[in-house]
Amino acid sequence: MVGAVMMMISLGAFAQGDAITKFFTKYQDDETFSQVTVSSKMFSLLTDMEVDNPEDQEVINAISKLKGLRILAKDNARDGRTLYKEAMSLLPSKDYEELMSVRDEDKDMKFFIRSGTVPGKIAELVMVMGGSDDFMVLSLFGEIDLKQIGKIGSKMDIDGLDKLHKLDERKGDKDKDKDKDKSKN
Amino acid sequence: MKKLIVLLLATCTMQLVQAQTKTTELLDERTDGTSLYFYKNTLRMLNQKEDPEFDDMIKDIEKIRFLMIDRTEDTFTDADYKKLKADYTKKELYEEIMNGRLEGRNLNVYVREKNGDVKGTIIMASDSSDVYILDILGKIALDKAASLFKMIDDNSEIAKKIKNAHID
Repeated sequence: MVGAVMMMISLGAFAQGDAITKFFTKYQDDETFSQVTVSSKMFSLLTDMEVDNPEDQEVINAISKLKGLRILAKDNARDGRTLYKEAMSLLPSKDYEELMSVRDEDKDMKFFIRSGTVPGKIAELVMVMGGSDDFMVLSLFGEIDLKQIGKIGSKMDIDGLDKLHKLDERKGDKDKDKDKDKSKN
Repeated sequence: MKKLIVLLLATCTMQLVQAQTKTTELLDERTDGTSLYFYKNTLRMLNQKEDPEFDDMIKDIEKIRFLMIDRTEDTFTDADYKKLKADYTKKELYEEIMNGRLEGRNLNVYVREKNGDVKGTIIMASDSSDVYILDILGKIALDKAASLFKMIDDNSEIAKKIKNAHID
């Protein structure tokens, strides 16, 4: 419970995509699901946090620009894969671009992003995860810095978002490759 | 050690203090549930393991009023819970910053600000048998919230023991 609590918040007029909002609305009162809603106010309060190093401060600054987080999850869900398919079918491909796909044991995870108006930033990150006995859909929205997204995921201690570290790792690998190429030349 | 903590908590309840909010005060008057006060010093005493994370969490808390209401004994319905949430936001001008439902327990967190600084925090939790209210004068460090929820769970157990001891 404790870890999951870190993910919650309130039902406001959030700037989420309509499709994913419909999915949340459909299942939010179903008590077999766990749900969490977090408002922009909570993220803005995080700016008061004391951090030890500039790198953490960058992450805190990035988190403070988030406008909301919603999570809908079901454990011990025999219909995990059905729910996964339903959520995937609701995501309009014209609005959402696939960012990353992960298969972890028996779970499938897909990450999508929706572009925003600010260059270099995205407006929404959606994660859909489904397995043989669990399901989760997550929507994080606001002004999201893609460069910080792996660290944000790690800082927020949310199952699944830790996989975003792979983006940082890939970026790191690419940087190393570039350095090697330069040294060869 | 637990006996010592229970004794300290029981002593706290005997101290006369002002409620943080009128809504919590009225709720306490209306119900027969357990009501406890925690001050900065008593919160520090709860930190038996000297966990620095816990100390960080409580550093901006002046005092906490903790209510635990038995839904059956006090006939506290879902409608009452809904009204209570509305009272905090409409009458006390608290703003909801988080809500959720996890493992059969509902959770709502509210804050009240003055000049950009958090002056009060309300944490409500409910399950099928009990309702818990934490009315905090001050604020908790949000990155240490996990410790707070552990504290809620631990103190719920302590409160139950106090309550049962009185009944016995």
